[in-house]
Amino acid sequence: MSILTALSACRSADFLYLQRLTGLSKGNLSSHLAKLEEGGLVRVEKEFVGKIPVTRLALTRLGRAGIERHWQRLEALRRDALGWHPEV
Amino acid sequence: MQAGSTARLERIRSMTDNYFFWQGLRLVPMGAALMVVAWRWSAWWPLTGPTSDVVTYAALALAVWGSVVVGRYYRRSFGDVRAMPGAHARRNALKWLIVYPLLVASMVVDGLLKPPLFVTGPVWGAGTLAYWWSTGRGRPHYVVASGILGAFGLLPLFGVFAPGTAGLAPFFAVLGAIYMVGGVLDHLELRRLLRPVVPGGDTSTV
Repeated sequence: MSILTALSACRSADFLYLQRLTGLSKGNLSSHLAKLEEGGLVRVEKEFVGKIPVTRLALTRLGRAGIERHWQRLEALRRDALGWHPEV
Repeated sequence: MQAGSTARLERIRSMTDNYFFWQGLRLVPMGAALMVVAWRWSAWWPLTGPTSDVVTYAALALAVWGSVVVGRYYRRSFGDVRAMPGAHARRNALKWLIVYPLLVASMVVDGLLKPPLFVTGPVWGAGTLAYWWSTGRGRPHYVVASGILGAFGLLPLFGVFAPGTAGLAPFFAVLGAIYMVGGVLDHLELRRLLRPVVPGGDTSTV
């Protein structure tokens, strides 16, 4: 959820940012990202900054729609919870 | 999902959306430059003539360069985020069309009209609150800073300094200090969310 939430708030983020955000090792984060890519939620882009290879991640249209739906549901739940009063 | 983890996700969203503004150490050189400007406007400034201008402009140039260097440090150590194109168009428009002109106008009012209150204080305090509100909130020190700047407006009433431009030097000194302290606290908040990479070890879950 941290990865998808972060990516929903930007155009793209690099691998290091997501690694610091999640606290995962390189291998573990790569494995998570591979699964998200397989599911069509995340797009992986490779580029060079000078001579250094950088991996950038971005949400696909499907991923963005999915995370937006999730946040809307969460917001609706929160609204419902605030309006709920126990029956006496 | 627990309330704590939802709050963390909301902070992640705010920080990622406003990543540039949460890179607090960028503000520290700017704060130091503001303090140099305050010093220059004070009675304790030792320089005169063109040297005075050169030193002031050099301090400002150094602050801009320092801020760029700090930006590179953040990219190297915390990673890079590219903002959504046009995501903050409304904020930028409000900033340039309303907030900045008001900040300048408040100083002009103090300089020309010399009202009994130091108008620059509350206007810049409101500007600080707008900055906090529009850059992801979360960092309560800006609410405190806004209160301090607002309260600065009352000081002429207590005879701390005369109405008019006499308040500008102490005001910019306080503003510089707020930039520096606020910047360090922003950085600490960023570090709380972007934890150090542990080689080979996982410290959290996705």
